[in-house]
Amino acid sequence: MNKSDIHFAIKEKIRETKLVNLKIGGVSARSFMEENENNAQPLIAIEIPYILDNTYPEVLKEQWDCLTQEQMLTKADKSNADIISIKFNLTEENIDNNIEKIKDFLKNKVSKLTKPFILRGANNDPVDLKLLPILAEFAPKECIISFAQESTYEQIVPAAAKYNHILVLRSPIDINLAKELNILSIDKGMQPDRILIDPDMGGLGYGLDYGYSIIEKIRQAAFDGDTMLNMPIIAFIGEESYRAKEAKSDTFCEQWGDYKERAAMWEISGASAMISAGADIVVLWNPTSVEAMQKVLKGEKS
Amino acid sequence: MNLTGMQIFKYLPGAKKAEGTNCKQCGCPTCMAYALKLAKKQANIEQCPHIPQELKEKFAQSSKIQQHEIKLSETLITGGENVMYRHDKTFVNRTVIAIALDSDDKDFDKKLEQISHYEIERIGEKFKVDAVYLTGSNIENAAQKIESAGIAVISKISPYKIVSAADFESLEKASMQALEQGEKDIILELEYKKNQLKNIVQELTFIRRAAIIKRHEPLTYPVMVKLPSDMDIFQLSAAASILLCRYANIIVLPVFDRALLSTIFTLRQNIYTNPQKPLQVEAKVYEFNEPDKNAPILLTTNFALTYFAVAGELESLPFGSYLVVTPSDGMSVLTAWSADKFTAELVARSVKNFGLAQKVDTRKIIIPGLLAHMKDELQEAMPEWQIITGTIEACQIPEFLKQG
Repeated sequence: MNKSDIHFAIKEKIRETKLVNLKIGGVSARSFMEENENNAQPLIAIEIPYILDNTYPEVLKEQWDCLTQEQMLTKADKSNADIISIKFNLTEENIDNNIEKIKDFLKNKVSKLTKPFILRGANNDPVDLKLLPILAEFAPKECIISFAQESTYEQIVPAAAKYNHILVLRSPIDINLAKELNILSIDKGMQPDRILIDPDMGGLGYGLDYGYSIIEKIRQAAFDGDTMLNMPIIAFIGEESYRAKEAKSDTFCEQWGDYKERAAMWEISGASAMISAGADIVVLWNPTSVEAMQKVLKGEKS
Repeated sequence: MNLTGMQIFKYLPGAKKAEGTNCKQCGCPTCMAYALKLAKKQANIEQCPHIPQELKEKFAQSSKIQQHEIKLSETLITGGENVMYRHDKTFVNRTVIAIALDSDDKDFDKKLEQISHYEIERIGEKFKVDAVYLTGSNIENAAQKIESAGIAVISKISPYKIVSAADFESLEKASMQALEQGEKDIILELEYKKNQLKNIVQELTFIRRAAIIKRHEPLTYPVMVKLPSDMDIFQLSAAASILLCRYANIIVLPVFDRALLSTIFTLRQNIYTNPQKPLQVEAKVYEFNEPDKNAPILLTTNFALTYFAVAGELESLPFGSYLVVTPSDGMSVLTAWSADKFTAELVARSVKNFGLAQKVDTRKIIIPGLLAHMKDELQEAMPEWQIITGTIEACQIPEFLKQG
């Protein structure tokens, strides 16, 4: 049998966008396949919190071996991740007092990063509605702003579009809602080529299967020619992974294995599944996971 | 894809009102009835004298097996897949997770003991190492020990033929040779060699397509990949996860590592869940952080995702709580409500059957915010409890409870 008999035909490829010098999307086949055109590697982002407080998992603090957020930022910039993500984990109580500090942080710290970056809100509508327009305006260069959703896109899209950032659009694990939000955002002024789809998937063991299949379906719809669904896909698998107690708690019995090992593997396995399904960017929290994923994806040995 | 009754019917005389329409020579009253029987494999294609060659060919093609099932032990089957993507239907036989063991290893007994004692439980399912991939000079003796521990053995003396090659084309050739030699049960071993993982996934994808889409006999057998021993455990977890998603039927791990196994088994449980049947949890009262008799009580349906979202929040709280999970056929809150799987009577009956009133002193139950409109109805059905409307999102629960 000839491999050309089982070739994967597509009508439309995934939109390609550029973040500084980084190519995002543009693929024309299923993950890892090289049919149709030479395909890009999926990208790995490493995420750190803006405020390093006691909600951040202890096991990760050990992995980073850093005492401050600033040290984490430096380490992230030196890591082999492709992108750095900063999650502005602010609350309704502290957002107003932090605005000036954030502007200062963008101007003096973020501007020094050598890698492209994602500036990410708090996943809290009132906070994000204040925060994301500021991040978009004061970002020292073009970046990925994350995220707008059905309840916030009207305010956030104009801010992201004005400064030519890439915008993540999150919709709740549903292909139709993802498409609808893309259309609405484009109507509001977003360039279709500056959108990333975030299908809001669950982490390993906690609903990962739903997100996995939605990503596969979105990818199929895109290859079948749906130009309102052929945007690159981003998966914030780090945050989802460390919601799971399996990834951060040492209270499991011996058979579950060393918890520090498991803490990385839980995220690695989820990220691997998301990439297999079609995610173009996976955002991770654990530096050990980032290193392992890059080696496996790029074919380097340990 | 198997042909449907309608797809078959359009080739029969009845569909074209041609000669032989409803001639009954096949033994069925109409062409349509015969087509339906053919689709269900209850009739034979030779029974009709009017079948065109094209249908015969299509039928022969669609009657071929997409992927053969191979028995690795009395209880362990691999292969049998019939879709490319889990959302098309569901995957069938879970990826076999095997561990490589050398029968000449001086620590053989110790290693086997570790493997055979490994067991974890997750959402009501128990997972053990499925098989040992056995090599070395002492296979027969070692195989007996492994099998008596209830674990399948994959080795060169297994009752199926293992054909090995490093790519699609050579594997196809090797399999064809085995078939010509009369082999019936085959395992295709795709050798990892120094290939990148990407190359392995590409070959696996082509093999699976040749099987599922083209039913190309030499490649319609389960595929095994043995991961190389020069990967560290973190890279192994990535590689095994990708192979599990992308078409390996059997994954052989070079080491025994508990964290690696528990992670891979969890992913396998996710990927092999039937996407057409929502994952549910048992309907009962769940306790978090050793609640006392005054701890808050929340209530929701037994849709697994809903449960996990709420359970995750309750677990993270610095105080105890109860979660009443109603039997709602695994439907989410609003779906259950609109399908009459979350009615006031059903909720009242569940709370009563669970004996909640005997467990606690509080008499307040917090219902999902999405069901605020049911509050009065529930209050009427459960007069001894005070019904409180909770939050719409699970992540708002901690804040809600802290505010009292």
